[in-house]
Amino acid sequence: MKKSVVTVISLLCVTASLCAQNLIPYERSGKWGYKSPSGEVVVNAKYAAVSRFADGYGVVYDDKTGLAGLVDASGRMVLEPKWSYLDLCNEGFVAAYVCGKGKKMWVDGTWTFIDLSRPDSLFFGDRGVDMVGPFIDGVAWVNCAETKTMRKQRYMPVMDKRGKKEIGRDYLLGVSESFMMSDLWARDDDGNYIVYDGQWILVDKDRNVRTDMEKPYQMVGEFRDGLAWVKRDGLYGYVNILGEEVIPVIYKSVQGAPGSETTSLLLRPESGAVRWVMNGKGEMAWLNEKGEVVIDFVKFNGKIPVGSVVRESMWDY
Amino acid sequence: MLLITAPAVSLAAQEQENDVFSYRRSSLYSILVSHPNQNMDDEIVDAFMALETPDKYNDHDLSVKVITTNIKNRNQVRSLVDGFLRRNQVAKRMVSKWFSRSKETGGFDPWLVLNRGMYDATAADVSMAEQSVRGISSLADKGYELIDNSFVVVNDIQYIDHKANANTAAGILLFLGAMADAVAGNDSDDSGSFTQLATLGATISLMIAGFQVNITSHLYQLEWNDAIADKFYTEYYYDKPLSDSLSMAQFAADGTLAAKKTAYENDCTTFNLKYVGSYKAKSNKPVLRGLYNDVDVFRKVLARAIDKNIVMLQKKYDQFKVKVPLNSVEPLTAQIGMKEGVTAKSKYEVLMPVFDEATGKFKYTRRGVIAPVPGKIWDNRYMAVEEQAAGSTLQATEFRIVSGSKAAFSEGMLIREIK
Repeated sequence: MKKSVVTVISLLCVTASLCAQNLIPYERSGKWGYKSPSGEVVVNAKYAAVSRFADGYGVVYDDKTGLAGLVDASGRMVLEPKWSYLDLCNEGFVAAYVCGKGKKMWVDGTWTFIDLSRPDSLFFGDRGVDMVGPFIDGVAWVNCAETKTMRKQRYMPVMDKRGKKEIGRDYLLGVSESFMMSDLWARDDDGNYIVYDGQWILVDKDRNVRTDMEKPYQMVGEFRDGLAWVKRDGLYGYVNILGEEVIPVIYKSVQGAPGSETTSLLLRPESGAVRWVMNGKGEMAWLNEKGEVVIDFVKFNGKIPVGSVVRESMWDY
Repeated sequence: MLLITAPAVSLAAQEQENDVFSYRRSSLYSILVSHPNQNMDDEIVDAFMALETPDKYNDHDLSVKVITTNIKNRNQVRSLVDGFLRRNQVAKRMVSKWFSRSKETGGFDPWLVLNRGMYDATAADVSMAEQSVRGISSLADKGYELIDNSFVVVNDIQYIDHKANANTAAGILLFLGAMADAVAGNDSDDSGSFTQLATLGATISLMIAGFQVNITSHLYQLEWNDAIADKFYTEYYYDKPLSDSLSMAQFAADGTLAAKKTAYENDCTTFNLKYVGSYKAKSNKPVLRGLYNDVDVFRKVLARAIDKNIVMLQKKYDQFKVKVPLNSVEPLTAQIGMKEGVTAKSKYEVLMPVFDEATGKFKYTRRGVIAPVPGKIWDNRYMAVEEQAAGSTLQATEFRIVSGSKAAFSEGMLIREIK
C-alpha cells in the first residue's frame, strides 16, 4: 500500500513537472516545432508557425491549412489543428474561433469556449457566439448578438537563442498566453477602437447565465477586484462576479470605460473607494463596493492642474 | 554602541511574512506631470497609473498621482511643481501617512514606522500595547532614518512623435505577413489569414513603433530632524481614539486634543520638502519583443525610462541610493539587477549596520567592496522575462570580492553602490 502511494506521488510529481515545463520554439527548413529547455526535440518541426509556450500550452499552425491547434508540454496534441484562431483563456479554458473557407476572418466566424479538461465538448454545443472574453474568477463575458466588431489578433515575435535579436519570419501568429478583455478590441488606422454595441451576458463555467438575459449589456469591461463596468442604454455601472449590479447602471461615465477620463487619483483600499463615476452634470464621485458615495460628487474632469489646490477630500493619507 | 549583527537583522526580518530579506528601505512617493496638449498623454497617464513603486523602496504614494500643465519648458515646470508641493502641503501629508493620521480625529498611530523600521519585537510590542507617543520615543532613533529617507520623485513625461519611424515599421510587418502567406500556401487574395493578421499587427505598429518619451525626474526629500520631530511628538502627536462610542465621547470631551488637531492642521511652515536635484533622459526606442499589445509597450517604455532616471538620481545623490541586503555569501548574491543599474563596471561597498546609542541613529561601516560577475547580472527590468532577455531567469546578481574577505561578510549585510 505504502509503495503504491509513493508511486502515485512520484507520478504526480513527474506530471506536475511536465506540466510546469514550457517548451521552446525552434525552426528547421522553414518549419516550426518545439524543443525542451535541454534541447531535445519534443514536437517535430512540421508546422507553419508555433507560438511561444505559456501556461503549459503552445498554439501550432498547420503547414497546409494554416489552422490552429494546441499542444501540451509533453508534445501531445490537445486540440487538433482545425481552428481558425485559438486564444488561451485563464482558468483552463480556451477561446476558439471558427471561420469557414472563403469567409471573411473576424467577421463571418463564431467563437466558442473549450474546457481543456473536456476538449471534445464545446461550450455552446454546435453553435457559437459573436465574441467571448476570458474566464476570470470563474466567469466570462459572452456577446450573443452578431456585430461587426473587429477582434484584435495577438501576435508575438521570434527571438534568437539569447533572446537578443528578432530573426527569420519575425512574427508568429497567435499567442498561447492568457488574454484580457482589452485584447479583444482592434483599432483602426487612427487608433480608434472598432467596437459595436452587442448583447453581452455573464456566464460561469457550468454554463449558467448570471446576468439578466432580458437586459443584456451593450458593452462590458474586465473584472478587476471583483467588479466589471457595464453599459446599457448608453449609461454605465458595475456588476460583481455574481452578476449583481452593485453600482447601478445610471452614470454617464465610469472608471475604465472607453472614452472615460483618465483620473489623477489613485485611492488606497483603506479609503473604501473602489471606483469613480461621473453623473450627467460632469461631476465625479468615488464609490465603495456597495455603491455608496465615499467622496461626494464634485465638478472634476480627472485632471489636477499644477497650479491648483487639491480638495482635502481627495487626499487619502 | 550596539552592533546590529546579521543574524539579528535576519531574525527581525523573518517576522515579516514572505520577506526574509526585509530591510530598511527609503520611502517613495512618485508623481507624474502630464501634458494634456500633447499626443499620447492619456496613454502615458494610464501606463503610469498602472506602474508600481520600485520594489527597493517602500510605497509612500498619496492619492494624487498626476498633475497637469501645458507648459513644456522643464525648468518652468519644476518651478510650478515646487509651488504645487508647497501649496498642497505635501510634506505634512507624507508625515501624516507615516503616522496613519485620522482625518476625523486628528490622532496618529506608530504602526507604519514600527513596521517599516523592523524594530525588534519587544519594542514593537511595548509601543503597540501602549499605543502612544511613548512607543515611538522608546525606540532610540525615533524613526529618524526612516522618515528622513522619504522622497518625492516628480516625473515630467513628454511624448516624442516619430511618425516616420512608425510608418517604416508598419511596412516591414506587412511584408512579413506576405511571407507568412507564401509559407502557408494561402492565396494572395484578401482572405489570406496571415496577411490579415499581419495587417492588424501593422495597425498596432503605426501607433506604437515610434513611442518614445522625454522624462525629467525631479527629486525632493522630506525634511525631518530633531527639532521637527520634537515639535511633532510634543505638540501634535496623540493616539487615535478607539472607534467605540465611549472612546469617541471621551475624545470629543478632551479640549486639548482638539487644540492639537487644529494646531497641526494650521501649521504651514514646519514640514517641508527640500529639492535635491533633477535628471533628464530620453527613453530607449520601444522593442516589441515579447509584447502583445500597445498597452504593454507604453508601460514597458515608461517603466524602464523611470527606472533609469531613478538609477541616475541615485548615482548623482548619495542620500537617494538604495541599500540592498546580501542574499547569500556562498555564492555572493543580492537581489539587485539591471533595473537598479547594475552593469559589469558597477562596484558596491558591503556595509554593517551599527546602532550608535549616543546619537540614537544608525551608522554603516564598510566591510569590503564587491563587483558583479560578468554574465551573472540579473535582468530584472520591467517585462524582461516576457521578452526572454538574457539574465532574466536569474533570481539575483552574483558578485565577486574586490576588497575585503568573504569571512567578514554575512547574509543580511547591506550593499550600496560606490563610484
